[in-house]
Amino acid sequence: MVSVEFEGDYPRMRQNKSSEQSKKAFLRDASVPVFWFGTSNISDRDWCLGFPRASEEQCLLDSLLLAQWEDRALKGLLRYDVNSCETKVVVGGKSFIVLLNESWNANSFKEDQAKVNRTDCVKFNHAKPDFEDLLFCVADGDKDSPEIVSSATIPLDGMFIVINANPVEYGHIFIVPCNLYQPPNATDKKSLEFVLRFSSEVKNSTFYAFYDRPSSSSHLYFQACYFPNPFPVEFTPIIPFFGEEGGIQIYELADYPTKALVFIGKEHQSLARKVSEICSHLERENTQFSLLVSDFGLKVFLFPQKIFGCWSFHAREGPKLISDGVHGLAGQVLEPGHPHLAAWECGGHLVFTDQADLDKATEGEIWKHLAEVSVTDSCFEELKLICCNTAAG
Amino acid sequence: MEAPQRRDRLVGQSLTSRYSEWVVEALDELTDNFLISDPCISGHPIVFASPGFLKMSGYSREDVLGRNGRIFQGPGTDRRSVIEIREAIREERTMQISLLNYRKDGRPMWILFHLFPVFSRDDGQVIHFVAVQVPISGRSAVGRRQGQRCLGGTGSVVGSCRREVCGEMELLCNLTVDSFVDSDNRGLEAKESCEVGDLEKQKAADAANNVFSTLTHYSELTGRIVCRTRCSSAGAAPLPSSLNISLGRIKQSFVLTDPHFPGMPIVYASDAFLSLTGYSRQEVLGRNCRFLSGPETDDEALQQLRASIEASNPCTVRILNYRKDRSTFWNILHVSPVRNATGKIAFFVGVQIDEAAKADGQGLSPGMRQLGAVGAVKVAVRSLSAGPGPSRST
Repeated sequence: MVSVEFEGDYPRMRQNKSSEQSKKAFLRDASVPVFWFGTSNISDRDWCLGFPRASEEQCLLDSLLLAQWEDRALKGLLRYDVNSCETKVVVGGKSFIVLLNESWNANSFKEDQAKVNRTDCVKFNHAKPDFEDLLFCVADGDKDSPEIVSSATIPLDGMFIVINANPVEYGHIFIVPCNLYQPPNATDKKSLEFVLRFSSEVKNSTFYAFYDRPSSSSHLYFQACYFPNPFPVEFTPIIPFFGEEGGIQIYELADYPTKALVFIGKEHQSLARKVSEICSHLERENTQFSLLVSDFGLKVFLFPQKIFGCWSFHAREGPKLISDGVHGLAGQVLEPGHPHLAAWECGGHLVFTDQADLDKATEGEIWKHLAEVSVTDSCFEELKLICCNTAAG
Repeated sequence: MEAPQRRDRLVGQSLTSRYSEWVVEALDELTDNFLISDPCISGHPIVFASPGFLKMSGYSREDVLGRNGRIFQGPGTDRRSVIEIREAIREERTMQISLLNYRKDGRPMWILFHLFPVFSRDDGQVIHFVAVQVPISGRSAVGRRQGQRCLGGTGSVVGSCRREVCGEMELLCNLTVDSFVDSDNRGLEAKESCEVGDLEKQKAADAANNVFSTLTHYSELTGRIVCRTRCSSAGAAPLPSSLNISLGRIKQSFVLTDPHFPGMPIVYASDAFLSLTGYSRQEVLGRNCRFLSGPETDDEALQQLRASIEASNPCTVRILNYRKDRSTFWNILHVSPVRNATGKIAFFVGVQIDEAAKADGQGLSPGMRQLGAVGAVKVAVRSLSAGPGPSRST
C-alpha cells in the first residue's frame, strides 16, 4: 500500500498511544468544560419574529467548539489536516462540491464511529474512555444566559461533544446524547431538540448537524461540522405539501436526484417533535435515512434511502428484508457495501480519495450516484402521506 | 478610540471619503428606493438609505444606518432567497430576486430586490453594495412563491471595465417549480404566480443605473473612480468582501498576512487589533508586523516566530510589543497558517492576547478565545468564494 505523506498544519496523529496511558484519565478525576444553555428564550435575545440570522459577533458556543477542536488538532489528535484538502465545484447547474481527501477511508471512519457508540454515558463514567477526545459537555442550565464552567462532575442529562479524528470538514464532532435514566436514542424528541438548540446556539451559518441511520442499527449520536460552502441541496427549489400547522412546513425538493423531505419550523420544540415522529416511523420500518440540519436548527432535510432496490415499506407485505449487506430478497446475493450515503453526500458534498477520480467527476455521474439511493415515487408518496397523517394526529 | 465609536465614524465616512462630501445630497434627490452598504466595515452595515426606501419601509434613517440589511427580513422571508443573496455577495455579482421583507410596523411587503457591487477601479476591491428595492404590486402578502432564482444579466464579473453600465437585466426565472406544481398538486394550495412584471424589472434597472451614475460622477471628484465590474489590477488582489464580512464577526485582536508578497504584508486587521495597538487601519495595511516590535523585544522570540512561519507551522510565543504611543504590552501571540478551498496556504493569521487580559464573564479563557478566533478564521478562508473573484460556475 502506498502511504500518503500529508502536508498539513498539525502534528501527525499520535501513534501507539499505549492503552494504559489513554486510560489514565478518569472523567471523575479531571475537569471538563461544561456549556450550560441559558434559559432565556433565544428568540427573545437574538431573533426577530422567529427569523434566524447569523449573529454579528462570534457566539460563545461557536468560540468554545472551535477553540477546543483547534486545541485537540494542535495536540495531534487528528489523523490528517482536512484544511489541506482541495475543494472544488463541479461544473453544472447544481454546483456539486467535491473534496479530495487521500487519507479518507470509510473504514477508519467506522472505527471511530464504533468507538463513539461505546462511549455511551454509563461507560463514559466508568470505562475510562479516551478522555482527550471529549471536547466538552452541554447541558440545560438554570441561568438566564449561557455560560461555561469547568467542572469535574459531568451533567447526567446532556450531550457529550467528542472530536472526530477523521474529519470530513473542519470542526467535525460527534454529539452524543447522554441520559442515565433512559437508553439514549439520537432521534428521540428530546435528543433531537437538543441538537437543534445546539445548532442555533452556535449561530454560525456554516455549521451543520447531521445524522445517519444505516438500515441495520440506529446510531446513538449526531455529528456536526463546519461546511464553509452551502450545500447544493440548499439551492434546490422546494414545494410545500404540508403547511403551517404548529408552525411547521414540510416541503419536497423540486429538482434533485435524491428525494427528500424538508422540514422548516419556527422554533425547535415543535420541529423536533415532528421530525422525531417521522424518524421513529422509519426506524420501525427499518429504513435507512439521513438527516441534515441547517439554518441554525430551524431546517431539517430528511433523505430516506432505499435498501437493495426495494424500499422496506413494502417489506410489511413481503418477506422482511435482510439488511446485512450480503443477502437480499430470496437469498439473492448482493454486492457488499451497498450504498448508504452520508447526509452530507445526499446534500451534494462528496469526498474523493483519488485525484484522477476528482478530476473526472461530472455532474451527470454525481447525479446518478445520488439518484441510486433515492426511494421510488410510490414509497415517497407513502412517506408524504404519513407526514400529513402524523401531523394531523 | 473604542471600537463602536470607530465603527460609527467609519459608517459616517464610508460614502464621503470615496465620493466627496456632496454625494449624500445628490443621492437624497433620487426618487428610487435603495440602500448602500459597506462590506469593508465589520457587520456589513448600511451606510445610506434613500428617502424613498425610508418612506416605503417606515424606518427612520437613524434606525437603519449602521445596521445590517437582515433587519428587514422576517418569518415569511424565504431562507433560500437569503442564501442566494449571501452567495451573490460572496461572489460579488449582480443579482435580482423577489423577496418578502418587513416594514418597521411588522407588515410584510413583496419587493423586487436588485443587488449590485460597486468596485474600485484602482484595485478591484468591492467598495459598496447597492440594493435597489422595487415594491411588487398586485400580490398578496402571504404568497409563497418567492425564492425563484432570478440571476442578473451578469453571469461573470471577471474582466475589464467594458460593461461599465449594464443596461439590460434579463430575468431568467427558473420555471422548474411551476412544472412540478402542475404535475403534483396534491395537498397544495393555490399558488400565486411568481411573475415579476416588466414594469418592475425596468424600474429596478433604471434605479440601478441612476444610483450608479451618481456614484461614478462623484467618485470622479475625489479621483477614486468606481466601476461596475471588477477591473484587473496589477498589485495584490484585495480581500473579497465576503471574507471581510466573515472576518468582521470575530471580535479578537488579529491580523492576516499574505505570504505570497515580499515582506508578508498585513492584508486584514481586526477592529480589536486597532484598539489594542492604537494604529488606524490605513497605518497597518500593507505593512509587515515588525512595527509592533521595539528595542526591548526579545530577539529569541522573533527568531522562533520566523522559523515557525518558514516551516509553515503554528506556534505560540510571548513577546513584548509596542503600541503606537510606544507603551508596551506582553503579547501572547499565536500564529498559524490558514488554507483556502484548494488546500493551499493563503494567509498566516496572528492572534494577539494582551497578557493582562482576563477571562470574560461567560467562562471563556483568553487562550480559548484565541484558538476560537483561529478556528473561525480557518473556516472563513476555507470558503470557496474566499479566493479572489467568483468561483462558482454559473
